[in-house]
Amino acid sequence: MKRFAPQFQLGLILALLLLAFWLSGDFQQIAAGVALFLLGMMLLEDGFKAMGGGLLERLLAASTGSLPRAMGFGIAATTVTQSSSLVSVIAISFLSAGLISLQAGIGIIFGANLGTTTGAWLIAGVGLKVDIARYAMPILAFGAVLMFQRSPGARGAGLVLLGIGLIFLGIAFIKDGFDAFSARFDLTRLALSGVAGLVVYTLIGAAATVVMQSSHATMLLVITALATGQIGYDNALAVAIGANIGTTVTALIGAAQANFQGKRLALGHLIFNAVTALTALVLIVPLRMLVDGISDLVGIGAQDFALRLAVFHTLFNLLGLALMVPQMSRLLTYLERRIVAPAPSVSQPRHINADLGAFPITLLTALKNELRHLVQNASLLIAEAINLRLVDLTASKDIRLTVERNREAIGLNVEQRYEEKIKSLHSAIIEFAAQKTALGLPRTAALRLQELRDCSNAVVRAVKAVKHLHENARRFTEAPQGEVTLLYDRLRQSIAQILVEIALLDQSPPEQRSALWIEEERRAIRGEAQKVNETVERLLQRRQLSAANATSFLNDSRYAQEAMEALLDAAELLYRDDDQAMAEIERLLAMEDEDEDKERRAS
Amino acid sequence: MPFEKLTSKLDRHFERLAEGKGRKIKPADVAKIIAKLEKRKAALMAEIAENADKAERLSHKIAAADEMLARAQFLMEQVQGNVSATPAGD
Repeated sequence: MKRFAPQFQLGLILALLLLAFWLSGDFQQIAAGVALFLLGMMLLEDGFKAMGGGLLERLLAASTGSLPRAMGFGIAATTVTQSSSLVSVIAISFLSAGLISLQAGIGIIFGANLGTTTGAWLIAGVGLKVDIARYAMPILAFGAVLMFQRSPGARGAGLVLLGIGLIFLGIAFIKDGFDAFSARFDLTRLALSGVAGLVVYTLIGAAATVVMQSSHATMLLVITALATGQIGYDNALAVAIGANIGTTVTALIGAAQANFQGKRLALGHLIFNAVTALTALVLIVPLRMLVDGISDLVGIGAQDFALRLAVFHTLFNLLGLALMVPQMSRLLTYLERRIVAPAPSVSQPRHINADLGAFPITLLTALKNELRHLVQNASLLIAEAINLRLVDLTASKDIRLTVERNREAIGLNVEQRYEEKIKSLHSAIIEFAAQKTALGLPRTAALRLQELRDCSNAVVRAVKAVKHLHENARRFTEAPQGEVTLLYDRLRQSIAQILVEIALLDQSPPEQRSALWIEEERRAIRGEAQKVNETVERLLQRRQLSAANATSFLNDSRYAQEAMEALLDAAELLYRDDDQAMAEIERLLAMEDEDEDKERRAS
Repeated sequence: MPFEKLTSKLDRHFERLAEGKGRKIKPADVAKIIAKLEKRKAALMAEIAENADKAERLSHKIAAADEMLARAQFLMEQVQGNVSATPAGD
């Protein structure tokens, strides 16, 4: 039965629309206006995403250090884009990537709630007072020309203009529809007074917002209906309160599939709006008096109910902020207790998830953190595969001594550990990267995504190479067996050194490290490999090493070299500078074999 | 020809820039990398002075740091040349 609920809902809405169209031709015009308005909102959102080139994300990253700044970002971004849903999606994405705190996320949502009230001002102050359909025509024409340009900026600007044009046209349609409707019908006959009116119209406002998935559209309808005398002022105030409740239902539906951070944010949003709405309903009489007082003070006409509704909308959202901001720490504690963060899994992805959306900053940050997780798992496995423990190595002051002292075999099933801690994570990373590549990200982000995918492949290559030498590394080092043990110890020492260097690189602040350090490690391990080969040759000539042991060692030496080179490849890709120009310099300066050989010969 | 691969990579970088792709490298960016490399080399020199047993490994790293510095200096010359060759207003 549940499976058919959405189809039933859709069928019901379509049937109701058909009935309404049959009853009233004017309603068709109002519905077409709403459709144009919603389409315009969608284009506006898409346009800002395309035009911004990550501007909104960069601004957000820089403006969420404190609660006032986060709220300021929410207000400003929603005022400019007129899309609280776009701002909410970005906030969820940043929160999911760990780039902002829950407090900052809630602050943005609070701010977006206030920012969205500017829509009511625009509709009541400009939309209904100016013949905006006239302005819509040239805006649409310019938008269409720009939309077909290749540059993402021009295309985004085109979508924004088309969005604005359609919104203007939608408002004009709705206004004309209500004007014509008013000549034949008088909906104020359906007005309800008192508590019943408050409850019924609040529910209508909430239901309309859920159906249209936009509180802006509900506000547009109620302001226009109010301006054309199709709804009483008191009932319109209740619809505005209902619209605030309805918008959280949309957010809650969206959060059903979100991770725990997205759910916390949606619950915080619901609590904020529910508290605000309840308070506004309880204090409706004094609030109305306050609105009248402010309106008189700023010169809003006594009959200009549309603008007075805009004042009310802003005022009751401000009331919500005044009530909830002092309770922020309580709210955060409640949300964190109510929706508990899942225990971090070693074998499952911790950072990449479906809530990251299509924002390059959050995608790449989450993917880098997931790769650090994979490198950590691989380092633990590789160390144990050569009878060493990563924790001993990173704490060691003398790697050679630590290697020599650790001979006891570590009971490790390399294949099983690989399946559990590497393969599952690697598969998730590859799938995530492939899905995000298909989103058509900007070129630099797509390039970085490809590098990070290559990084994951390199980590797997390193682990697979170590799997081959695991058995001999244990067999020849468990107990001293002369020269062959010393040779294997040198291999273990080289690998251990690389693991330590990668751990150090991971811990050093990004501004102090460079992927170029990896080139130095590469040079060092190649120098060591050459020396070890010379030693094997000498030992064979002196018959201090059997041919069978020498063959085993040389094979394993190649596997070790392969593992170390792959680890260095992974580190070089993972720790590349975030700044695009610096990353490009690192790519240019990275030594390639041909250069290296030539320069060595020259020196 | 010194730094043959670097030169061809740099040519490709300038080609991409001409197509409006990628971010232009400024001399200040290269200067930042050079400063990092010099700092790194000084740290390695200090480490080698304190750890004679790691001398061989560290000497390989210092040699690599030296080569990287030389490549970075070469890059700086190319980037500066490109900046002065760029017409005003571009």
